[in-house]
Amino acid sequence: MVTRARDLGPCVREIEHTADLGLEVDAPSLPLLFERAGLGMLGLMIDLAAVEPRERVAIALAAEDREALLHDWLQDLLVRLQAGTFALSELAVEEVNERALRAWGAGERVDRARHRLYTEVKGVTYHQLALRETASGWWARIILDV
Amino acid sequence: MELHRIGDCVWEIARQGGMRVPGRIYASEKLMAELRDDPALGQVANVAHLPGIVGHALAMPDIHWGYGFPIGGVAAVDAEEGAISPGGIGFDINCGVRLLRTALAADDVGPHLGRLADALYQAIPAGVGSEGAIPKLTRAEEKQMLARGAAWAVAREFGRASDLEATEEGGCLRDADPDAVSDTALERGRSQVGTLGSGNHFLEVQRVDEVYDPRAAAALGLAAGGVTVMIHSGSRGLGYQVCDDALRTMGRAMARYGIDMPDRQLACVPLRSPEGQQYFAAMAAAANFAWTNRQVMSGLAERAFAAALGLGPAALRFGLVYDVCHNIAKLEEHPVDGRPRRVCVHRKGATRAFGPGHPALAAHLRPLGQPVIIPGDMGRYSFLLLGTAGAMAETFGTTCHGAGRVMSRAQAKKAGHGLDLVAELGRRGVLVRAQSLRGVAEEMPWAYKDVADVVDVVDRAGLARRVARLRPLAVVKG
Repeated sequence: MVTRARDLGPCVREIEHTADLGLEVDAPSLPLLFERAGLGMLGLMIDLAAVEPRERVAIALAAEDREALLHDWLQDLLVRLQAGTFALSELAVEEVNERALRAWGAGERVDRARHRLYTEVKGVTYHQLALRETASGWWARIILDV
Repeated sequence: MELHRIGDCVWEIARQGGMRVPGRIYASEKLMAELRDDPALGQVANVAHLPGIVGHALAMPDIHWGYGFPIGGVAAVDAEEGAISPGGIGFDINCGVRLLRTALAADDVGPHLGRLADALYQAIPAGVGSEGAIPKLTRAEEKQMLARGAAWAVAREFGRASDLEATEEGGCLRDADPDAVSDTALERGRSQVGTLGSGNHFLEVQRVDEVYDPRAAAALGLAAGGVTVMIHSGSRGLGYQVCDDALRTMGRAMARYGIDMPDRQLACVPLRSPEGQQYFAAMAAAANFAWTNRQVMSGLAERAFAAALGLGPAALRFGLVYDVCHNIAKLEEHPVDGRPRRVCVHRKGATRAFGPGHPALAAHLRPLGQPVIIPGDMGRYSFLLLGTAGAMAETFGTTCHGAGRVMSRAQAKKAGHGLDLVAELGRRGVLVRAQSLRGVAEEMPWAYKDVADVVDVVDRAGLARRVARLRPLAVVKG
């Protein structure tokens, strides 16, 4: 399963927060939730429609619980964009459980001539971080520091 | 939660449950009415759970909802026994403000303002993804910069040595250890030296609009109608990463120290623990990055003025009035229960405001007290104040930091929809140069409280006293 930036639609929503930015994400499965949350966040920072999936990268993470894993996953994607100037427009989470994740992403180096940059997200916070199973799958809320 | 008014502008949250001390909020009746249902009050109560906290969990009148600590939150913990919490400093370590004076008159600069704004916008990279006027540093150079702070920039001819006397800690926390900063943080910061950032960061050319204390203003080199430059910026990606690294480490380590806090973002460890010492050293390095950054941008601003106006240093007479931090932790001595005590003061969206006579102040500032710079939104005004004995007695030498938002970014964007925002600001007499119009929408005056209300409270409560009001003429934003 791979999620592309254009697939997101209404399953990723910006939510009100006075000082910063929030996202709510729905998905029928946990891997899909992680993919949508990742692209939803990246889409706030850069115009993903212009990011070509030229190069693949492997991502493997471990954390003490699922919320921490979601936090670390998003932080990993954020740092790749900001420090490495590498943007991902496709994400595929191959395996995710309580404490570990294995995924790949496809994207390219940021080219200021082609890629419009939006909001600078400083960090992924634990504030009101929530990740829950629902009747139709999974739901998450993340607040981003901008 | 029990909230009692105990003074004209002072409210107390009674100790209950796991709170180790009461909470104390400085606010007017009007500001408190807006806060009644705000989670920020609950956050003040949560901060009171911090191990080793002394006095009160404090909040300044610009209080609003933050991560763990409210913005405007202040907590002092015992330096030996207390816990340090990265949430009490914030993601943007040493986000701060500096005020530069010039010899110029606003009326003389007026006709050249457009050219000046363009020159500043060209000289100082702003906005998302902007890379520095300083070429990407090697790892070794970056670590030297983190160890030396603002002096590193002065050595490279950005500003002058006398600027260091007008900067908190001389622009360098000696406890900094560049090796305590992660590779990821170093990577995020390498190409960002001398960049403004985005969001609510800015560089403003201002006019000294009103002087409340002519003697103090003159002593600081300011007069009505004069031109000043204000720079608001922090430690960029490096500081943000140091905070995130620490929250992760401390989140895991907390249980080992038997610490249980009501909010995950209040992750903390004993200051004297290896994790606490590592974070403090990394925080100090990030603080030094921010001071270096503001010092570099001061130098770039001076060069832009020289180029745009065709004036040399002798005619411009740039000088630093003061540089304050508003997201930091400092080791200081303060009276607790009538006796001097060494404490670690967390200030998150709060500014140090040492009173007259304090030994930390340079000789020329000691008779006055510490200058305090309070930025407002870009359409109205900012203020210069001085610290007081009252702040020393009541708030660990602390006062407010700014206006505080009233609208979310989404709401602000909606409110600006269809409006020509640059023209709107132009009607208020403010020229804007911004990388992102979306950023301008999020930062419009209607998205913020009126900083004059906040400054009024700290003045009435005796936590700082007004010296001058400054109005924006031109704003450079990311």
